[in-house]
Amino acid sequence: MNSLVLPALIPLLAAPLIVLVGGRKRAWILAWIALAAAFASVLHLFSLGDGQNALGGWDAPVGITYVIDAANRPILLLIMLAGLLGLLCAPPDRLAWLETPRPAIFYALYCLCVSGLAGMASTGDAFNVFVFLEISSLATYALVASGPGRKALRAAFQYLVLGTLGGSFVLLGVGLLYMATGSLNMADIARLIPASPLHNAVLVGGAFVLLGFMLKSALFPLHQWLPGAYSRSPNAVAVLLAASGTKVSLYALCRIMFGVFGLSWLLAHHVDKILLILACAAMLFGSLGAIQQTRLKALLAWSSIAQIGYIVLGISTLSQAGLSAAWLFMLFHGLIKGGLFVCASGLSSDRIKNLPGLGRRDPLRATCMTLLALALLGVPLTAGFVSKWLLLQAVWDSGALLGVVVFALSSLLAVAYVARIVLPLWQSSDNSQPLITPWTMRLGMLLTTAAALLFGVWPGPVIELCRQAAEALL
Amino acid sequence: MTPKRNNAVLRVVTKQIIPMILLFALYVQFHGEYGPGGGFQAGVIFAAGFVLYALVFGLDLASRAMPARALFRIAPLGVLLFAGVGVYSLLKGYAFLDYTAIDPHDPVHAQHLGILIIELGVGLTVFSVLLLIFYAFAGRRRADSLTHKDMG
Amino acid sequence: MNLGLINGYAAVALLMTGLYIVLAYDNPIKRLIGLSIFQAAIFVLYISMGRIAGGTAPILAEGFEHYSHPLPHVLILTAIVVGVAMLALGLALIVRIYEEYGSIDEQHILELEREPDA
Repeated sequence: MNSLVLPALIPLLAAPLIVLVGGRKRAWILAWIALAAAFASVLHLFSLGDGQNALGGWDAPVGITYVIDAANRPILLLIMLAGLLGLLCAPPDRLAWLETPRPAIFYALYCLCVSGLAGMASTGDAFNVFVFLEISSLATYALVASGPGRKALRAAFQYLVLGTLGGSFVLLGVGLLYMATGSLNMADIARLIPASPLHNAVLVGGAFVLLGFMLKSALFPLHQWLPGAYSRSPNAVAVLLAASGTKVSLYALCRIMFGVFGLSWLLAHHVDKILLILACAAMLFGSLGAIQQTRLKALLAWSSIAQIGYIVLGISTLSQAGLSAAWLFMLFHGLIKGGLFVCASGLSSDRIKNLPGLGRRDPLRATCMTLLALALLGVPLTAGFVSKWLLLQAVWDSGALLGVVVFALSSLLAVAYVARIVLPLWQSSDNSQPLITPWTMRLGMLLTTAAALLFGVWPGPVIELCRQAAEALL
Repeated sequence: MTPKRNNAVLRVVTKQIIPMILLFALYVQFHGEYGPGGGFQAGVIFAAGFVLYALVFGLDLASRAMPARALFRIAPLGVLLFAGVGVYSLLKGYAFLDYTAIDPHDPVHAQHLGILIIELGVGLTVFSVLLLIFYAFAGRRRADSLTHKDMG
Repeated sequence: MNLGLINGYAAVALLMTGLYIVLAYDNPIKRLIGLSIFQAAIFVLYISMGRIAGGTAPILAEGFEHYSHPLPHVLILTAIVVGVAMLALGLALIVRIYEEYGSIDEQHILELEREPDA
């Protein structure tokens, strides 16, 4: 079971190697090899089955354990796919605008970020989650700051302040839980909580941990950092973050909710109702915000805020159907939004008013963008439809009428913002100069679009994965 | 940064004290398994020696003694040293960072050796990263005299 | 007031102070200072939790039976390193913002931003 550490370890090892080797092209190739190897190790985990690995040979609850089960395998898969997809958008020759004299650092930070996300997804230790959270966050702040233009710096600083607050909340909460139970191992904390004499420490600690992860997953109203971080960062980073960044925090949120506190604690403290209200607010305000944006990437980022609301809506049902729908939504939304950010990469201007004519300038990009946007909307025969349909069913069954109503409203609003980006693509304009897109980015668009369509008609295996994930969590 | 070259007392005292700082850092580094200390603390103290040198004698002399290029090599090497022990134990069939892999016949000796190597990696990285941060901030010229190429 | 809990009260006061500074000020350097105070409060909380009445430093020596719990100290060492990295990165960003805008004043920068960007 020693290979459980590999998804986090391989990119972590790659980062210093990339700095040592240096050079633009070599760094890119090394990052590729590392993420491909990490991806292979995740596939290997699927064949291994559930398991635990005690680091340094120190068994739980003393040592740090890595726990792999049905719940986090799909998340690890998503992280690695997002990492590879992002790398497609950062071929070495397109790094010219990066202001760093050491481009290798960019790729090293990229690998560190993936490593931090993978570590968050695979550890079973509450403090270790904080450490990996900060590894990925610190790498992300620096990556966002390397984006084009000076606004990237302010977006990165805003993200740094809010992200550090989120991380500190997690640290504070874990400390209080440790005070109450004397353990840092998640399974062990769960076992000790009922016997703990410090009820209030458990309550406040739990509240801080959940709050911290809500901030890191940009759940409304803690979303202020997200539009800037997504829309100002370099293309590759935007793809990685949009496809997997917030999802990993949502996974950690679920892991703490179900793996540490358990259903009865959550129900007793009305966590389901709080999440339902926040999810509804996120769906409404995210969609409303997306409609008002003037830049393509900012629109996509605001749409992500709404989609996080959908995922949390699924989690708030606290039911198996809801959780498996939330997992499916995470995977499919990661795929679709990642693809959309690939399509939004490499445009000379990402203002929506400059979109007209793109259908003629770069037909492949415009076609992929249209199909992916329709999938985001949830048009039948796309992956988006499957996840939305299952989510709606789960929410309906849970009897949360508010959720159903807001779900429908938000989906209507989504039509408005999707129309704002899809319709102009096919209008004619004076600018008919063909747009040159590197083959790696074309590959990324094609693959994500194909996958979004394929899973629309053949979602069976993924639904089964998500069903098992929900079963493992509950 | 303007070096205080004309202050004889400062220069003499600094020259006397820097070797002691570095020596103390090495003590903290290699005594860390028995007493208070370890790689983090040693790295910080070692870096503090160079920071003091840079403060008194100027950044140019300091970066001649310990060039940033070298630090850029040392920092990843430290991480690799740390992770290398873990990978070695993984390859030997033990858990990640299980020091027993270093000397399976004498686990206690292996623990000693393991923590020494690990802490050396930590010390090297902390030292070089802290000094790099210091160089990065101290070496910054005023914004108005910067061309775009200097940045980053 | 229970004097045994004085570290707890101090931690809460520091937490509130730090959070207020982060949220209420425009000056990015002050906000970083607020963040550092906020984190320091958490460090205080952790370290106080490891204390055992009458305990010494957690070093094995003859004649000492009780010693503080070393684990919170080690955890906080990690968190301090994270805090240092955050502070260095934040200050580096502020330097870069100053170089790009010629100001770190939020109001001034917002005025500059009014000009449409490409």
